[in-house]
Amino acid sequence: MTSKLSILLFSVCLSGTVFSNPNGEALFKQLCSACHGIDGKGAGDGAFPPLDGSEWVKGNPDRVAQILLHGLSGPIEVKGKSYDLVMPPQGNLTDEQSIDVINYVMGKWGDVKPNYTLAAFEKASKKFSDRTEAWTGDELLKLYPLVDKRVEKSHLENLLMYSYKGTWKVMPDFTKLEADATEEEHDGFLSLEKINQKQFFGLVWEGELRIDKGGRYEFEIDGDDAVRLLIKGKQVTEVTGLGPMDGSRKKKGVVALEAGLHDFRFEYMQNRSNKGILARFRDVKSKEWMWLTKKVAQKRRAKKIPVIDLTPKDGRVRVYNNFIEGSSPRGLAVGFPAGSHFSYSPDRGTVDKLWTGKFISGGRHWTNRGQGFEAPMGTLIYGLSDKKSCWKMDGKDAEVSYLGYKLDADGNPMFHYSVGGVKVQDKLVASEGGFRRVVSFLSKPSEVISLVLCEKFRGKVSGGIAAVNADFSISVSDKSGVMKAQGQQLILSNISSTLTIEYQWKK
Amino acid sequence: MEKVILTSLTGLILSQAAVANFKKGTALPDISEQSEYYVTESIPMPKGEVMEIGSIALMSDKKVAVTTRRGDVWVVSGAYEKDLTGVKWNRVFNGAHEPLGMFEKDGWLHFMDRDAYVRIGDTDKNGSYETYHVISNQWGMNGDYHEYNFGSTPDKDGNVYVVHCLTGSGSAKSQWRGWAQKIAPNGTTTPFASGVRSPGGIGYNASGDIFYTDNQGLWNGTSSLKHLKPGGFMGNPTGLVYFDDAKGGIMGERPINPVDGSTIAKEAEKIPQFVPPAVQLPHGKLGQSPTAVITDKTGGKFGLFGGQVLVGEQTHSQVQRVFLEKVNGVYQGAAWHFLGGFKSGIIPMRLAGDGTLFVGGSSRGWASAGGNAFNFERVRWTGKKPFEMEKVEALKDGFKITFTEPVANFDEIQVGNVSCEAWTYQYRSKYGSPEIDKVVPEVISVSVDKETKLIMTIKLDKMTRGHVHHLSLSGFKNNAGSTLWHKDVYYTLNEIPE
Repeated sequence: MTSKLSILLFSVCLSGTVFSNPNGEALFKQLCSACHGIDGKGAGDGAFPPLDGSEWVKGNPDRVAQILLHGLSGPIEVKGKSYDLVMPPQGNLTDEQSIDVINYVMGKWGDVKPNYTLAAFEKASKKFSDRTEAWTGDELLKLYPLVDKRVEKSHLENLLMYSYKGTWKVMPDFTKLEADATEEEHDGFLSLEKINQKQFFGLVWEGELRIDKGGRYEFEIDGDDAVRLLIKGKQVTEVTGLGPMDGSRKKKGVVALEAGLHDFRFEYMQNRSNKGILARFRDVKSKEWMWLTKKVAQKRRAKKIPVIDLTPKDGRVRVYNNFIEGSSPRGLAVGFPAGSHFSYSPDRGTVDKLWTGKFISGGRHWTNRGQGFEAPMGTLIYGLSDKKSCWKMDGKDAEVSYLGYKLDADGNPMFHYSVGGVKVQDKLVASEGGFRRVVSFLSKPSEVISLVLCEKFRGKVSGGIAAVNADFSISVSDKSGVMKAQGQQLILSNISSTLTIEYQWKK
Repeated sequence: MEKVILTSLTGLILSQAAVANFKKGTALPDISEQSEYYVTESIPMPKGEVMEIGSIALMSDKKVAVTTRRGDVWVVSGAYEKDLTGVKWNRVFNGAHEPLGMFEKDGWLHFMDRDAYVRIGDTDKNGSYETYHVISNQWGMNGDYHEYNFGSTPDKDGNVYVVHCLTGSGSAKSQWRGWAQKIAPNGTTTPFASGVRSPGGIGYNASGDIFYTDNQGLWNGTSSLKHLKPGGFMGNPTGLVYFDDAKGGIMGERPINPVDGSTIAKEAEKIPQFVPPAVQLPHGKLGQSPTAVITDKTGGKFGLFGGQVLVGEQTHSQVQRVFLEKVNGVYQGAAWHFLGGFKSGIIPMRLAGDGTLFVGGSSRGWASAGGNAFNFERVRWTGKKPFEMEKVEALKDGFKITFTEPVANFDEIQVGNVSCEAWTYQYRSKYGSPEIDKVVPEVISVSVDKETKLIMTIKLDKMTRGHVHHLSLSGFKNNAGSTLWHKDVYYTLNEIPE
């Protein structure tokens, strides 16, 4: 009996949370649930963003509509967690189906009555109908800021807002100016939502701050540009002059207040470009902020790319073939157990970078979709190549054709490619404090072929050694050819069939 | 004490109820019947390794090779054994760059790397592949992750076909993005077809013609299986910026630009190079991201659908089944749900001659109904015959459906047992399309061949060229009294037979 009852209770609870929107629910399950989860908690144990509890499905439904219409790409934050993915536009949905989905999602996981209308959707759709790119999170939040409904109750009563026009660089004395307009702010929040002007205006709010329990209170304010807070006619704190609201200029002040109502005044001056205000307070003994402005979403934290250290630990050389910073898109990185590594563009026949310490992280390419070029992890010794072919023929870029590589017993690759039709083998072996590179032509190289050993060379060449800087030098064996500085480049010409090049650094 | 027991009991019941509700709640087809006909087993993978499988190759000696998105190549033995606990994995290579499409030839593993079409070899026979030969890298890449290349197995002459995804799946910033190329065994690489958007796999049908899947998006109202007709235009004009480099030869003249917002049927009439998608896979209804293309050539070892095409599905973790026919020289046909319930998003598939289907995949970056990060599974036919539509062929005024078993209650079947709805998609530069121009053809008559009870002819009042025709069959029973395993079929009517 008990168990039957609990099942009954359970199903009542379940059905109680579901709005009757069978189309929206069916479409959600069919089209959205693979990523967001049938329960809205995000697929793949949170690898994909949840809708349940997400601040993105609260507030203005136009924000959700825009995501369905154009998609959303790049880093976003949901419930304090970062995601860097792509949601494609839901071009398969008719306008009516889109509304059903929006109402289902916002009704189930948002905080609004699910009553988004066709007219509202079409208006939102027309607004950016020329758009061809997916939205970025930042773009969308600028248009449709997040609302934090944890701020349910206002702390300001009888709030009035006076607006002024003028161009100021410091806060004017508003008491000496005549207001253009006065408005009652019944919701009891300081807000710029209704302000259409973008620049050159001022605002003053007057009202009463309600304190439920006497104590010492800390106030924090910020603005773009100046803001000033007065309680009981006395200035608590101010942010002066012009500047952004990025947290760098925020100011705090502490006031002792007894329970009851206190005269409250907040002044704001906007010069040009971005606008914004922030005001909140808390009992000095509490961590919980109480908001006077509507909560500003925390600035997005940069998406942290996890580190997956690929430094060889099994005694073998490791080839990491992926997008490497400073190399051709066909480039790769080669890591040695002894702790010196290089990156290489086999379709150009260039050694691109040399470094020591840790090898490289797979985190960028082995999480999410793997976008971008990864830089070495260790200490960079030198960047030799400048994303150009190093092989020249008659002074111009020679045609280099990548043929492959062969690993030796240690897993170290010998690259094969052709330069101007002549086949070449190219191998780097880690030596004490550097690399020895041996390039062998399988038939006699043309006299007009030369090799740029370093793209930005400002050092000196003497006795077959080119000092790139105090710590790093390049040398070639006598028989390899003639090494000289030419313009900004270090060039090896009159090359022979076998080139031995030493990259040497001081430990 | 009593209370504690009660609570834990309640918790147990609740969680079972929640599970039941979850399965019931999914929009994916019910797979409870599947295990009667097909048994799916997970192949144990090496512990602690991230095996996001991008390619599968069937090797000699009952070995199977896979590539991972992390760039490893593994060889597994024991994957055909009844007892899978004895599988042995060997990492044979680790310097690849997200390969997609692999096969074995003359002891070498060939795969379509991001950088190049290559073969790797174990020339010293020590079990580790040390030789990486570039066969062709005659296409551009700029570092965008979306610039994937899917490679085929060789055709009878040893040629391999590759489809290049657009840059970011929407532009063609590197050469030959949005194209298919043919690579001869000596590496000679030539343009083969234009108009590709975002492929998920490539393979042959039973006649040896090459097909690929293209995903819903710009100029793809829905995902589809497309026939890579030599010199054909597949529908996405973005890559045509490289047409001057391809002019002449099999490519002929540049297709004229399609009209944005039209339909494929209209534009295909004006653009002679346009090859309409052979089979459209309605978005949401039949998956969301089609991938691998393989054909059942097992001679009945994998069930009743020999010669048909199987299409992998990443988002819904499924395998769809496709029947193809040629009408007026154009491929078209029917698609059904087939297998489901896989543990991650399917990318590659290979069907071995003994009737073992290997599937693998990943849900990294693109989520899948099967919630695991990656999977490697095998499927075998139990020998029990499912009651299914085996094939659906277009007639000038309806469809001919062949069943896998006699329709036992054929004399009860009336027009009301068949419903039909048809639609097409906007052919447009915007992403995807709703279903448009819906028509509900009237089912005028249904007649089951009384001799065999295997063939049913459906007459409709209207056949709409270019439309996907969704037929739904209810109340059909076989001798055992079972209803159809899958009652819905989606037929893409590019051409109406004379």
